[in-house]
Amino acid sequence: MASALIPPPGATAAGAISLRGVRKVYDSHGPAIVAVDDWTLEIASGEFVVVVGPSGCGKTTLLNGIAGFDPITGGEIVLDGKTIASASRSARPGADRIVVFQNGSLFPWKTVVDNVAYGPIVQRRMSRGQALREARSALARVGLGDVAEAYPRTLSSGVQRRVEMVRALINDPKVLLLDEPFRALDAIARSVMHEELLRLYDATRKTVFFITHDLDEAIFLADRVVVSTSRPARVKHVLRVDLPRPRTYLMMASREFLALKREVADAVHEEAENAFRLGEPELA
Amino acid sequence: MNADAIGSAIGRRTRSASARTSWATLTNVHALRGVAGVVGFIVLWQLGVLFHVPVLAKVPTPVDVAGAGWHVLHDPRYYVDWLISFKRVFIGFVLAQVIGVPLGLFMGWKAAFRYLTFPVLEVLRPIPPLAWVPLSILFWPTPESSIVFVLFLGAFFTVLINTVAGVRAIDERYVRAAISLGATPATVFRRIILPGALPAIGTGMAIGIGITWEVLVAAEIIAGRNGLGYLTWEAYVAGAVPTIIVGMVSIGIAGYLSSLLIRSVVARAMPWTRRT
Repeated sequence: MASALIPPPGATAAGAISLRGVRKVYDSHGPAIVAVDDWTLEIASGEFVVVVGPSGCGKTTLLNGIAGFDPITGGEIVLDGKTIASASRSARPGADRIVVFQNGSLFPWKTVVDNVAYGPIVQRRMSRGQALREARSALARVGLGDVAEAYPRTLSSGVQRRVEMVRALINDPKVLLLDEPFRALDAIARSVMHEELLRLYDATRKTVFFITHDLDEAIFLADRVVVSTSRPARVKHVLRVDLPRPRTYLMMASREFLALKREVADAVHEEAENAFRLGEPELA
Repeated sequence: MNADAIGSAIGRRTRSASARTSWATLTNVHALRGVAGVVGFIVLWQLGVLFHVPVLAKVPTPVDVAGAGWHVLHDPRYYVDWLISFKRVFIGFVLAQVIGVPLGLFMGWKAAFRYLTFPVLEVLRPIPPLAWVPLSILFWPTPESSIVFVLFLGAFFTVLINTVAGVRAIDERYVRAAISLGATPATVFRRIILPGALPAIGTGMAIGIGITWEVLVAAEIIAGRNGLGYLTWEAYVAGAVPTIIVGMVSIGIAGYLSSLLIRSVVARAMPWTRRT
């Protein structure tokens, strides 16, 4: 569906991320809190990685580190062989790593098409007219042509999230960073969004770093599910999901899916209990 | 109520008013209720005076006021008073926006600048505009400029505080999303901070224009030789009680028209807050 949105799979073999011993300590208010400690993972170009773990386990901290919103305290984050963040080097956000947020971040004062055209315009990659034309045709290709002139608040959360993904993908990023993007949606809308996201993913093969605590969502979407420990966050368990692509919702009832879910659930449950016992307040 | 809700309420009202013809508005049930309220108020007032209800005993009746109003309406100076008062309010109000909005945006955006300026402004803010009148008369070269200055103060702090609050209420997500999409800090300021704060700025303007009219009367009484406020005062000095009320009603109507104007301008600037 979105095949013409951006170059086809493999056209840009980029977006490999190395997280090497990433550490993040918050110490600005009172006693230091180690949110993330020695978090290590190699993510291949075009891989779909989903991180699950208890609330407040530092998943978002990690994502903000990759995005360049917050500096990390130790270790390094490498994108395509280039260190983008380390203890001595503050990461800068960039259009090569675009974030789709938990509650949606479409600009309410812009129409859908203006939102989508925002990236190309502010990066000065295109003239305004050209960006708007591109945005319109990108929206039309994913079946959102009808809402191009609408303001976001007039649309359902599901449609808003789809627009937001188009807004990200039109910039041809190397990496998509998704921070519980479907959290606010109901279960039915969410399952439709999963298939839509996978269609976009299959068409573009961007590297995806996805955070959630919905285990079904994690397994359904991922090439690999990474279970993160409760604070401080470390990689506890990595699970390869070999369900064939394209995936359909019916796979969620398959024996293989259930076996994977059981494995993830065991690991996550243990961590959830740890977090519960610690009784620490959640970090953003 | 947050600024957004106020903004959308404003948007809804002006939209329904402008979407229909004036005749349809007159026959609109809400408008009819409004007219009924005004008529009822006048009837009660008339009856209250006729039956010597204690507080109203010395108040002229609506009929007396209408008579005085008729007289005033035939005096060309009355229209000059309108123009002059509107001009003063307009200049003071616009100056307050021109200085207050950018200052507020910058204060909201840069914490260091906010910490630097906030204490000074917080001490100046509670000083009523009228307390500035003596100093204003001493330091400004003409009575006119001192009146405008006092009016400016009336709107300035309101718009400033609202703008700062509006910027600070902008969700961090929007800023991060913009940066993530490749926006520079200057672009973030122009394309995120400004539109994001606009609903709060609109609220500040709607309140500010009201305060400006409130301050006008006193400023004209003290420093003016004309204007609607001065008209009211002059009527008092002359003992023309019905004319006092004509002046008061004129100011009320002028203030109401100004807020209508401001609201429609604000709603026009924020099409995204309209309900469809």
